[in-house]
This record gives sequence, C-alpha cells and structure tokens, in this order.
Amino acid sequence: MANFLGAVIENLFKKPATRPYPFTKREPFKDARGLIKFDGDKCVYCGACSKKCPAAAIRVERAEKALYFEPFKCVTCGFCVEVCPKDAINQEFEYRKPDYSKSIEKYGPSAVPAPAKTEAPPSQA
Amino acid sequence: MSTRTVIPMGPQHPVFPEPLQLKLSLKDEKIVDVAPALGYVHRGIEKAAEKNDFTQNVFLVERICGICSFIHAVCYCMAIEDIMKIELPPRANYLRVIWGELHRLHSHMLWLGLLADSFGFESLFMKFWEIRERILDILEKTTGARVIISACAIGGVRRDISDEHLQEILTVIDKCEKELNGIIPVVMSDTTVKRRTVGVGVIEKEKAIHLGIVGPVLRASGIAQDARMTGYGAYKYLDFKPVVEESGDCYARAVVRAKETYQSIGLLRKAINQLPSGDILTKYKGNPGKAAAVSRVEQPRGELIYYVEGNGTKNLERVRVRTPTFSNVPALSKMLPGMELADAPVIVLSIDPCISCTER
Amino acid sequence: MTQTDTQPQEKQFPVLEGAENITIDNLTARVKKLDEEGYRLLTATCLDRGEKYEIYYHFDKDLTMLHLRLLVNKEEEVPSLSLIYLCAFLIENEMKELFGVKFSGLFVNYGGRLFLGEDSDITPMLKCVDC
Repeated sequence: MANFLGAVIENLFKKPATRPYPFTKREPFKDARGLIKFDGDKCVYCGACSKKCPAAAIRVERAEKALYFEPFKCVTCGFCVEVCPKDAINQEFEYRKPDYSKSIEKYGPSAVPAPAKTEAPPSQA
Repeated sequence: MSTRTVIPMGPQHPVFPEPLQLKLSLKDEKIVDVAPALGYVHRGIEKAAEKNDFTQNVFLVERICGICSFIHAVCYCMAIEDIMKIELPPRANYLRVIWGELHRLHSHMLWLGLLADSFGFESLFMKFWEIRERILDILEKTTGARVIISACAIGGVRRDISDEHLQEILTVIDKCEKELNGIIPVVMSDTTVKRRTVGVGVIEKEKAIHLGIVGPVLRASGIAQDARMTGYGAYKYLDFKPVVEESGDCYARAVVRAKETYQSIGLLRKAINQLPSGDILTKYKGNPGKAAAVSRVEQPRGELIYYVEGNGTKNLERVRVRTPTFSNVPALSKMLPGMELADAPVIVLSIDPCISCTER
Repeated sequence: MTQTDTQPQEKQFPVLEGAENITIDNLTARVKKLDEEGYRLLTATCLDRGEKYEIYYHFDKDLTMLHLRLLVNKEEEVPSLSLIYLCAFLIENEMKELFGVKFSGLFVNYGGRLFLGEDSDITPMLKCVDC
C-alpha cells in the first residue's frame, strides 16, 4: 500500500474534483453539439435535413410548409446543420432538458409562432 | 463431492458495465465449466445499416459502442473510401489518429479504474476516473460531444482542431501523464493487486491463436499483433511499436494496458508535432459501386474488422462488423475453468468486455 | 480472379478482391493447412445471394489478410471449423441464427438462440425476412 500513500495524503487536503451540481453549473463548451433549432422563415422546406437525419427525427411537409421535429429522437449529430442549403438550422451549445412527455415541435413561416407544441403524430415510421 | 452447482453470474453484476450472463458450473469453489449466454442488448445494427443511406451509417456505427465510438466510424469510413477510391487529405489522417488515441486513452483509463473496482480498491478507481474526465473534457471542447463525438465523415473529418486546442491537448496530456506516474505504479507493483492478478486466467502463447483472441489480451500472451502495425491512416508516419508482455495472465493484461496509456500519450505528442496543415475533407460524388472491401483498425479492446459491400445504390448490400470482444468471449471458456469463483470477476474484466459491441 | 460460375441469377454480385474460391469438400483440409502454417481466424462474413449463401472466411498472418470464398446452396450443410479453431463456434452460431446456415459438427450449439429471443422464428439478416 506504500505506493498509494502519497495519493491518500494528497486526497485529504485537496478540493473535491466534482461540482455541487444543481448549485454550480459548468458553462457549456463553445461549439458543443446541443439542441437543434429551426428557423421557420429561412427554411424553404426542401426536405434535405429529413432525408439525411440518421435518427429520422425530422419530417417536412412541403405542401403545408411545415416541419415537424422530434427532439427526443434527435441524436444531436449535427448532420442536418451541415446539409441545410439555407442555414436555417442552428445548433445551440446547451443540452436538451428532460421532459415529462416526448413532445413534437412544429416549425413554419412566422405566422405560426415557433416552436409550438402539437398533438399531431409526426410520422408513420 | 460429485455434485456440481451452477451459479449464474450476471446479467446484472457489479463488475459488468453491460449485461452478460455466464453460467458457471462449480465443484466446491472451483469453476469447472462456463457457458456464456448473450443476447441482452442485440439491436440489429447490421440490418439497420443495410436499410440506411450509407452517409447516415457513419452515425449509426458510432452507436455500436459507447467507448470506442469514433474508431468504429473510422473503420467504416475506411471501408467506404476503399470502395469509392477516395484519397484522404493528410491532415484528416492525423486528426483521426489524434481523436482515436484520445479514445484509447480514456478507454484504458476506464478499464484500469474498473479493474481496481473489481477487487475493491475504490479510491484507485476514483483516481483513474478523475483523470479520464479531463480527456473527455478535451474531446468535448474539440468535437462538441464527450464520447460519441461524430467527428468522422466519409472522405475525412467534420471538424478541425485549432492551434489553441492542440496546445491545450498537449497540456492536458502532460498533466495526465504526471498524475498517472503517481498511480500506475500502484497497479504494477502493489502486493494486494498482484495477489489478485498474477497467475490468474492464464492463456499460453500456443493456445492464443486457436482461441482467436485479439488486442491487449493477445499481446499479453506474447504475440505482437496490433492492427496499427499495418500503418493505416497516419500510423505509418508515427513509428509504432506494439506493447508485448509474456506471462498471459490478468496481471500481464493490466500491464499491457497501463503501458499503452503511456504509448498513446507519446503517439499524441508525435501526431500533434507532425500535424500537417491543409484540407480536412475530400469531396466525393455518387454512391459506392458494386465492390466489397475489408478494413481493420485497432480499438482499445483489440482489432476491429468491417466488411462493407456496395451495390451501386445509396444503400449498402452488407455491413459486417467483427468487434474485438466477439472474438475474446470464447477465450473465457479456457480462462475460467480451474479458477476460484472469487477470481471470476477479475478474469472476466481482464478481457475488457464490451457487450454492446459483441451483439451489435 | 474470374468468377464464371453457373449463377442462375441475373444479378451479378461483387467478389472480394484476392479471395480464394473454395468448396465444401476441401474447406476443412484447406483450413487445417492454414492452421498449421500459423494463420489466425479473424472472422467469417455471410451474405445472402438468393439461392445461395456466400461465406467469406478471413484469416491473417503477419498482418496480411487471406480470404476464402465459399458458395453453398441454402440446403447444404457446411462443415464447422470450431474443432480446428475454437473461436469459430460463436461466429458460426451467429450465422446459423441470423442467416439460417446449416452447420455440421458445431462444438457448442446455441440452437439458434444466441441473440434472438426464445419465441423468435425468423432469420432476420436474410434479404427477404419472411421467406
């Protein structure tokens, strides 16, 4: 045990390595991949993001100019942000908060206040 | 005593991070037979990879394993690049090595911590995981996520590392090395650790090939086999030499992994110093053609092999994943018999089981 | 290596570059020879080719890979390699379960219950799952 004695003594006088979480929060790192937000005005509803999404979390209705996003399916890979031709998708640094239900976000041109929660089932898949 | 007792070890057991069941047949305290039962986390990822677009698969295969995720993506991308004849920019190759070695570093740190935990050395476990957290922080700073970093793409990488972050990686690994110098000797020379590991779960050099074992387990049995020796990516410029131990027991496996943490730190320093500037992504057009490719890389747990076959459409004909734990599990049936029941957790842990990898 | 089989399918499948063709009859003898030469069995890959299964056995020695390519009809039994290489039992059990390949002389037989549930009766990796 003699080898470990140094570490034991050091531990006695050291500050804890962890944070008292709910009271002290770490700032999210810059460029962390967190929440995905869409801009309903910039979006042209081309559906590129929904085709590329590996988790099938996005469904675009071209005719009704609406985009349905399921945040709890999203794996925050950021692939949609890369493929969007209009830069209408924005990835924030914060992580998604927990929720009581798996809500679906609907985005559209600004007449519809975005994001609004809907009851409509997003997709058959 | 002629009767045997069968003890089911797992699927929930303190030393297993993931569900695996071992049916241990005991005669008194001695293990005489072992039957692994798998199937608790089979997700059908190989099938899903046939249904997906081949670009989406990069993110899918990353989710096979929660520890060495980036290396899975690298291996898949290498196979696709082989089929589509995409040449990588040199900087991308180096960046893949940097992230790959950071992954190996944090995976070995996790394992060394779990080993300490498996024989009840809680404070050593905490020490290792404290160091690991720094590496996860640097991964999050450079790529945006802690473990499933999604930094790999077909034809290169998705993000660049800035000079400022490269400097930070160097300072972090310097600090890690200093702290490891304080606790790695505990693993290597402490009598309590040695008593639990020396001579336990031995695999002789002659048997090793027939058992099909790979990675640190194979290298601990005296066979110098490491997929990084093939020089994929930028490893050919880094003068790589595998770590080999001779005794083939749990202690040798711990020593191999402990030495590999230092080796990874060395490789990181070299890669960062040699890092060329330039592009990070080669653009490509079209879908993978009718061709097949096999690629292999070295994961923290051993050799990872992908067989990918395209059929000219955006979907692939077949993606076959051979993960290191899949070939290390049969070796348990040779390691465990003859050992005491109390040694079973240490032996099972010594192959670094990743069940999600095994079942895919 | 030219692939001029009597394949009835109109669909042509790619062949892995450098693969060595092999039949059921000489599989065991060839693998025994490879074993004596010190090759490691890496893994085997099974592919569904309509009427047939295509099985690749991947070997390695001194960082060079060697692939054996076996084409078998779906009813035929493939001799198991698990008595030569113990590690083959897990690979073959997986193929048996996910593709329905028949093996003779499996060292440990999970009876098709390695990954799937007790009540599952499909071979999910086939191209057409229900047939």
